[in-house]
Amino acid sequence: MSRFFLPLLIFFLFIIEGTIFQVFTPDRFGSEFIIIPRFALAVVIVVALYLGRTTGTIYALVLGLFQDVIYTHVLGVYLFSMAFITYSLGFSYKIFQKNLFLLIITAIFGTILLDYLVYGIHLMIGITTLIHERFFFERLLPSLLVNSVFLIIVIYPLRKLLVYLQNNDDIEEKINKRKKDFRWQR
Amino acid sequence: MPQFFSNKRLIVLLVSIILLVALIGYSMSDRRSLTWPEQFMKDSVGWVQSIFKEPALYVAGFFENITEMKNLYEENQILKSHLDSYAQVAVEVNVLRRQNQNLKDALEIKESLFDYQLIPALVIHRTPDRWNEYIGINKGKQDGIERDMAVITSKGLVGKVKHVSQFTSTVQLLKDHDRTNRISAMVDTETTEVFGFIEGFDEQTGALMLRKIAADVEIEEGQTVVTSGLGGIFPQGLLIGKIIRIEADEYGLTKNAYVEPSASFNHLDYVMIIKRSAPAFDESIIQEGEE
Repeated sequence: MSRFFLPLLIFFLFIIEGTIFQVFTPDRFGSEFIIIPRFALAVVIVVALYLGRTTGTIYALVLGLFQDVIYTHVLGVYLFSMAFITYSLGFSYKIFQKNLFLLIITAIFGTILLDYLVYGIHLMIGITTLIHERFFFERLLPSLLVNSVFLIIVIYPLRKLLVYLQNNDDIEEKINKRKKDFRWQR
Repeated sequence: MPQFFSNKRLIVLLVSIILLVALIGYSMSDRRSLTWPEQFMKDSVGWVQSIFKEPALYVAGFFENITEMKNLYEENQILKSHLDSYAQVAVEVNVLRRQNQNLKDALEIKESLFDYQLIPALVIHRTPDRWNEYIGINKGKQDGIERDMAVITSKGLVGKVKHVSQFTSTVQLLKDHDRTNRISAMVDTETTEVFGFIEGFDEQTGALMLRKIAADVEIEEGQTVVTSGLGGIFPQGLLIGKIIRIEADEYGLTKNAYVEPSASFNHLDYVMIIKRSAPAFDESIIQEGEE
């Protein structure tokens, strides 16, 4: 059961970004600012910090594929960027896992990196012509704020869940190892 | 800490960049229809999205109602003054419609570019990163939606259908920055119709650009812009907006007009897809012509 909970959580965050969040966006109330929610990616980066690079990158690949097929319609942009960022930030060391502040900083850094990468790719293939100054003030800063607030709210329960999953994995590993040893002995 | 770029990793990175370029090139080609795995993913996720969207709209609607109640009185006064002139216009329209029908019957015209039927749809998602101005709707090929159909709200045209899968489809809004996002439109002046193309969106003024207007025609600010129906699947006479500024284009050969869109692109919850009754482009005609 707990094995399916994490993918489901990320999937729901991904859905919320496009549906519920879009009902309450600031441009609906006549504001210039655009908030780009990156809830799912932030969670994936935290997952990579706890459960290892490989697991995190697999989550990021699937998430990126969904983002591409359902929202962007240009295959590959998010698939590549998300996997790349998660792989490069996925240091699964104990210092990161013990310090909540470091976790938040890493995940937020990942979202900024993603926004820049996607902006760069879109600028290159000519989907957007937005100048950097407006991108920075109208999109990056407000989204940074909202994503940080989201992470600060979510990080504590998320860490509890991940520690629980980590322990589960350790126990399973031990059981498997014992089984293997047992076979070797015979 | 292990060395970040070992040889193996570098190769994987390079291969994935090549794959990225190939994938982007593949998906940017214009006439592409969705492959079946994409359709399957979109449909199944779209089903979940529509479950999420309905309650969210309900909550948002509640808050909007509260803000609306504040200026209810003033609105009522204005509407009352409009109502008097409305009755007269309604009678006039009825008379004209009947007359038009009679004349058509006399001339045996069965279809016109004006005829269409409406398919209502719920907006289930919107691209959260706003690089593309796309929205998803919960009607697809099974409901008779086809590529390039016009999408309107009650206030006017908002976009056209870009991708169709079996039960959902994606709509490209008029303000999307795509070179192929082009709609043939006309300015409704009192004496003639002036044709042009809606191409692109000016971020600074929040206006659509009406380009390729002939340089010698007279148009004025405040005139309405509607679809011309000549582009293919769109019917004639869908409201796009009002002209707010006119200027010559960079070469001086044609004119450009800034059109303030009548429909809001931010309050998209329910939209209608337009299915034109007049045939767009009969393939048999072309084949006969070739023979």
